[in-house]
Amino acid sequence: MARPRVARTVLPNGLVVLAVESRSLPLFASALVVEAGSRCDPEGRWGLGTVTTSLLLEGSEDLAGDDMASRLDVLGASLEASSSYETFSLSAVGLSENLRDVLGIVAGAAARPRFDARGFDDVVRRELTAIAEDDDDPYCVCRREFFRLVFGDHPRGRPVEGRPETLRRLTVEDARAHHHGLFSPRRAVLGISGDFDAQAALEAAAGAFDAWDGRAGVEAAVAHVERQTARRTRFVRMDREQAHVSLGSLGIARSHPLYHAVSALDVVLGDSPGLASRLATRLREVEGLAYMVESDTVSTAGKDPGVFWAYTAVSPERTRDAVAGILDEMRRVRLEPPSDDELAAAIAYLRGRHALDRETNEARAARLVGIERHGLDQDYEDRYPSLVGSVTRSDLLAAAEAVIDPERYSLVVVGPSRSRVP
Amino acid sequence: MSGAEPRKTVLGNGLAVVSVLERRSPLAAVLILYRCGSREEPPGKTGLAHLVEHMMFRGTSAYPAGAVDAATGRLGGVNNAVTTPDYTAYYFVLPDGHWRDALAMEADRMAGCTLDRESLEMERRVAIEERKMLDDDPESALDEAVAMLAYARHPYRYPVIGLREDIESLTLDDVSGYYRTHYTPSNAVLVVAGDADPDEVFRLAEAGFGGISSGPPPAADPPLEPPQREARRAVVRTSIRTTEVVLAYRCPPAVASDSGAVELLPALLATGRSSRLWRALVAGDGIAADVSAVRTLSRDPGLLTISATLHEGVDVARAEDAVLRALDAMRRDGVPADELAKARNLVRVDLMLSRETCLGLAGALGFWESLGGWELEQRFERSVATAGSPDLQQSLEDYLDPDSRSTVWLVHG
Repeated sequence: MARPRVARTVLPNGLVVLAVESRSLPLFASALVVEAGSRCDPEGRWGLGTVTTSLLLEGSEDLAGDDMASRLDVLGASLEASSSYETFSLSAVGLSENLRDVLGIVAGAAARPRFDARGFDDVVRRELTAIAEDDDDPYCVCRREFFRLVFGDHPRGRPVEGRPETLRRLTVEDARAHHHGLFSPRRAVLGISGDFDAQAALEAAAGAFDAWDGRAGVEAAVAHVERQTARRTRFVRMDREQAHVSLGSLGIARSHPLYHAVSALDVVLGDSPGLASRLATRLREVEGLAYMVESDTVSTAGKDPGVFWAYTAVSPERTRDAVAGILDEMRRVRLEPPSDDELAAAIAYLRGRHALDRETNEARAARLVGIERHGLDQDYEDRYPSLVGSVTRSDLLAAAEAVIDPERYSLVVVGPSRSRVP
Repeated sequence: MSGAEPRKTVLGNGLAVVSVLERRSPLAAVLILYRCGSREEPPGKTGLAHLVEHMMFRGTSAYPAGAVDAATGRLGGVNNAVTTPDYTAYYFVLPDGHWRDALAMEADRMAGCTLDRESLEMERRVAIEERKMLDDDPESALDEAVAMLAYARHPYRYPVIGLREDIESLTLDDVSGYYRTHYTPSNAVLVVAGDADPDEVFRLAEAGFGGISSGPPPAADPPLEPPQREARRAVVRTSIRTTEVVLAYRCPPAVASDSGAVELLPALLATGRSSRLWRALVAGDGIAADVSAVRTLSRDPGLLTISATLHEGVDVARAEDAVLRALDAMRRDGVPADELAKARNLVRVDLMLSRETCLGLAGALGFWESLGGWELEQRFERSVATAGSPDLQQSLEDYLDPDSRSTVWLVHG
């Protein structure tokens, strides 16, 4: 099945636009991704990027907030704003017959937001309520504290959504200035997938985004992170039925030469279908300790390094067994190279998942952007099967050496007192 | 529905096989759906359907424990299962023609699953951990409280995961009895959707499943739920600080003739930022951070559930009043044609998105086939597309009756 060709253009203002056709349903999805993210939040103003991005949906110079909402709903479209450590995104889904109209709304939101005081207050209140919900969720607390433990004062150790005290400090002028400094077409990529002619989609994007001011924007310098040299632990008491356990350390950047080997290692250790991974086999199938067990490195690998993280939730009195089981498997994957069968299964799974990961317009639009952001050629999709196919058992050992350290790791346990481990 | 028309055959043992060729990608989904879920559990045996689902992964003589997952990975795909009130479904998504292997694995699992005491105890421990995970999730506690309040007799009253004391007391006889009774060809639907030729699907289905005999049909339907004639109310107190209000109304089964009109109600109420409840509760100095409306498409009468997550310090009664006022206004003034058209558009896109993947496509075909025929989906879509203002008005009167609602508050303390 031949993969449709990707059409690419760079608008005069610097915006890179990519489009790929998918003719099966009369739908499209678009992803406008701006290179910035919470890594650009000023000290003491954590969450500014999240608030600024959410504010884009509160209206533009073209459409007041209520009118923008009505227009999108009438078109049967949805538009969502999101933030991550490295990016701000506006993602739209809709009927392909409305592509031009929806892109016009997205462009207005990204380039000419209103930033009125009422919208700002609404967004901050909603973010505060969302943070309060997360603070009561032991999984969210466990993940947040894990990043804090691994990264310390580095920007990646801060919560993307900020904290209540930092959000309360923000003003609408902060958001306006943050947008002015960061939301530039020169640091943005637009990916579109759907039922259209790809060239016509590029033209629709050009018509919508041409007026976006092409200022350069501000570059954020982010400090290098050193690997930890000793074990770090943190316990957070939450009186719940289960203890939530996160264990891991600094991961890799997407540009790491062992990226594909680390992908295969993830599959072997904790990211296989069903219960086939070593961690799931041990903690769930053999010991019956947990319902959920997983580990992963590549999903957080960005331009900056992410984390290797293993996670499970167990009865509090079994926390020590869970930690011991995870550490045993981490040691084993460094000492015993995965067998030929394990490697072959990991490669086959990654190749198959590659097709699964591109099944929807939304996923394809996001992948177009990801490939562009990471400086890969758009033929990367065609080369991927051979790239993972060339991973060897010794690559897996090297990957394990690079990301897994069973002595110098970060451990977070969130649960009742009896789940505390030494 | 785009693409080729689904095709269906019924094997001699009663297994319905539905297949649709969709060459969007090199993938195909294989889904086998058994017409049994928590709805079919005997009294005091909640969690049984879910535990049987877990046991189906403990292996057979041909595929020992873990072998199905390992094989799926080697074939480059994913597999899993889901237990719902109405059905239990097992599925694979596989590339490059490996759907054939999935048929073989499912036929083997239907013909004879290993059900032993040791495996049962292991899966019971895992299921109890899953139960604890849900106990820690306030949304689950809220969902369970809503169902307990809205249903007095019907098994929809109980959570699919089961009550802790029931999970702890289920026996091997319970598990093997449920498996023998319900996991039979005539109680199942097999769907293959994607890059797979239906003629070959039918041929391989006959070869793999044709020799499995069907037992007697499962017992009669569960007890009918009596009509709700009074408003009910409950308060769930938790240690978390989030405050939520939920209003649940009975709504018709998926196959009811007015099902399409009812499907538009959640879209009108809470899909998108121009929806009535977003404007009433969330927008402009709103009292809620989020609002949603969900209708369960189910075999027996389900629920239309409206939920709002409130900002700190907001009086829950005030939020409940705001929802009721919005519903009253809709009942009193009707729904203008342009608003109705908007809701139809939103539902239409949503339905298409749900079938963008071959697994979504297979899931929809399997669900409707289990209710009587995959063509019912097309009837449902037509009724969404043609429901007019009078139909909507009738649905509002029939189902969003203030005197038959169940209200649950989730509060701190």
